Amino acid sequence: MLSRPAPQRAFTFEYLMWLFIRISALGLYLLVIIGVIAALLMGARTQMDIATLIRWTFFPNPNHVINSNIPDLDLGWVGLLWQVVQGFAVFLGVTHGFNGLRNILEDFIGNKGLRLALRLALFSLWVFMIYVATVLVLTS
Amino acid sequence: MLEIGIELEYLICLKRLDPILIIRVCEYFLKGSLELIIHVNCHFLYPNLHAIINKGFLFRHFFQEVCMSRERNVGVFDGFIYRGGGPMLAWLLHRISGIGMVIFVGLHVLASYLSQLFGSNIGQAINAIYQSWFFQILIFFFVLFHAINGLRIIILDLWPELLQYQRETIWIEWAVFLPLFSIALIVIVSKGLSGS
Repeated sequence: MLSRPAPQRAFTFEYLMWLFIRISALGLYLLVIIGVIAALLMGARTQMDIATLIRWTFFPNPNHVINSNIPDLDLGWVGLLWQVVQGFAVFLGVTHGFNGLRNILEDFIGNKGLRLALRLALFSLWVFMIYVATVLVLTS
Repeated sequence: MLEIGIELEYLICLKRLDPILIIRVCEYFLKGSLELIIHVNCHFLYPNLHAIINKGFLFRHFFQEVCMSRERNVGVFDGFIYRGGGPMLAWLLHRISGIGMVIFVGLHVLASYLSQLFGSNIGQAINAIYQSWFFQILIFFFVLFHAINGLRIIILDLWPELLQYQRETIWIEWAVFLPLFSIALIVIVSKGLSGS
């Protein structure tokens, strides 16, 4: 049973994804920090419980805080800024996740044809999830 | 062949020896006849290692991650008995939490999409599961552990000289994780038990 060989030290797809995984992780950290600081500035401490604050932190979508004690969501909680932040979170998060899935699966798959089929399947799923999440961001 | 691979990981992790040194020693004694199972997580920062790889050796060994591909016939339970310890547990939990998040967050996004755009009952049913406090504990464990362990991996990749202390970094990681997780656990459980 062949598993995949060690990646070469060159400008390859594996190297790019290795780099992307690290950079997107740091990017997601940045988005989390932006989310929690902004929420606290907008008065989250008096307007929501900690579970809601955590939900907003990981994905600053107005639907994540709609049931808390916020009197008016239009005062800062919705808008283009948050849609952009959510867009970044969607792209980085979904791509990071699907590449991680690819990594795990390909550790156990040596067959080239099977690996190609798997990559195609994961790529379609990735496109689908990006589409679904983007529509969700734009319509919420 | 396999035993040597495992011992090598043991030497690197437990005895805190320089992986490059060990590989050079192996190279000297074995003259290329060995298929070492080496995969160094930060190998892009180790030019020497790649010089060796390019000589025709096949290094496939998870540096802080025990290689559990089927080739080595290491089952899950053998894996727990194996002396990988903290780094191996972190590697395992990183993968489990990653898979968990892809499934759970993916389903959650899909459910929100269905209920938001079509008012679907399926979406609302799935979201109801997500709002249960048991589920919130699980997903928060996954997210927090994955985030902190990922940061540890990035730090070790950027400063590979810290790799000799990688067992200690695991302890630091748990020391950061446990208080943060406990606070959230107390809040979620007390809210869940009070029925709000």
